[in-house]
Amino acid sequence: MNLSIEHYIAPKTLGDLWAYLHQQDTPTGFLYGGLDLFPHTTQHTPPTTWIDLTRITELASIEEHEGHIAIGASTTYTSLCHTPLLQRHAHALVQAASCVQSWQMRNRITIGETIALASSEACILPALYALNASVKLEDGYKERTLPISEYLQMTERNPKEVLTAIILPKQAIHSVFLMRGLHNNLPMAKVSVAVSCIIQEGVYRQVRIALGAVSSKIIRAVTAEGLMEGQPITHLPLIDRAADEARRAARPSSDIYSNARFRKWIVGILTSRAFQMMIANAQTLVVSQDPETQTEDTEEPVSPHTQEETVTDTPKE
Amino acid sequence: MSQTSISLSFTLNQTPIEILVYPHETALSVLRRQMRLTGAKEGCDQAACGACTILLDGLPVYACTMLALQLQDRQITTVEGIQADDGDFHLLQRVFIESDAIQCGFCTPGMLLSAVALVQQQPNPTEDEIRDALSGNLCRCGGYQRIVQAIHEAIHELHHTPDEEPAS
Repeated sequence: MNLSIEHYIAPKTLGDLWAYLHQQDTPTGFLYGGLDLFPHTTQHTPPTTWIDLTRITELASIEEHEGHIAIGASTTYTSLCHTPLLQRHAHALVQAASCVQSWQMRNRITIGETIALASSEACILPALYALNASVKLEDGYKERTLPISEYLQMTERNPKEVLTAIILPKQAIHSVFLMRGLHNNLPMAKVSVAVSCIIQEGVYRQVRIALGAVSSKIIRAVTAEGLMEGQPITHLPLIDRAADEARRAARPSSDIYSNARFRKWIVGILTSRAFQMMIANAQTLVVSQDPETQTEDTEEPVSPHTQEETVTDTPKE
Repeated sequence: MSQTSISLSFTLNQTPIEILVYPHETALSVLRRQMRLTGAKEGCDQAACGACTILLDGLPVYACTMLALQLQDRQITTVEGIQADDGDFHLLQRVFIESDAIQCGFCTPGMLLSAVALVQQQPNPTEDEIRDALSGNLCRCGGYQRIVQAIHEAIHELHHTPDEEPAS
């Protein structure tokens, strides 16, 4: 590997991490998983001291609290895919993590490193936007929580501050993530769409639509969200209008894989499908919550084979 | 630039190992150049082809994009360590040979380790689960059908010869 690493530290507890950080003055890189090291191989002056956070058990846990779920920054995609708690409250995140088809990659890549790399093509970022996620930052003295959008737009970060957890609100939220992939092995999308909402008495509430890989950052289709808010889920033509608005919000560019027109087209299709799937899931849930039909909570892990959308009848790529 | 070697201890194919490595070295380079275990191959070197697959605490990972120091205190299995205690081939190795699931053989160690991990986790996997488990391994010869078929045969053999102790 073309990277000079002079010091490598692997603390086993957060206490060890803070103790080391407080006496360290040189620029330090954090390894939330390990793959996050590799973009630095092309940097002009990458850090020469690296702190490996993967051995800190507190950072690799998923905890349920009163009103939220805390996901440790070093939680692997495999853990995200197989946690029933997330399948219930953050279905879009589980679907997005499952889109990385390589088993080897899912066993290594972590939620923290994906956020740290902050690529708009990374699958889980739109899902986190749609689920209204926040990130918890700590430096050993104090901690603060920021919305993920704010964190990703920070131009300057405190070098002593570590992303320790991702906070998701725990509520009866319906969410769906869909993508059109670039490469099966990579957690990267050509276009990705994550939608979430609360369905109360048959109407949409707190609708969030996040679009990935159609701009340099994750964008929210705010006009489409406003269109759906408070409307009945039975009003199906509304979905097509929201899909059109999402298409207008997208600002994709053309590259060797797809042109911008194709990507815009796909945004509309995925948005429309995501809402249809969400309504179908919500109706299934209502049926399964009927006491006569209710069964044990035996949700199966989401299979990657069901995630990637096959889009037909599209403009020429 | 000065780099100091650091002591690294881990269990490699059930044998405790203690060596000195440089912080920038990858797990793959240490296994191949220092431990002389060349089963894990250097293919794409960017976590895409699966030729470098090793088992880290029983789960397949890419060794090419992992720092050697991240192996500290972990259980590592390479293709050299999956044979039976009596030195005979692992069931999957034997079935791969008998089913001609090998062409050039470059991807075979990675394919075998992914299959071993799958069978350990899910003794009776479906076709989709087999293909999912192998989706991080590329066969440049395009011999996927026979590889999947070989794994099916190994699983069939595992479940239909109760008197015969399967190799593990």
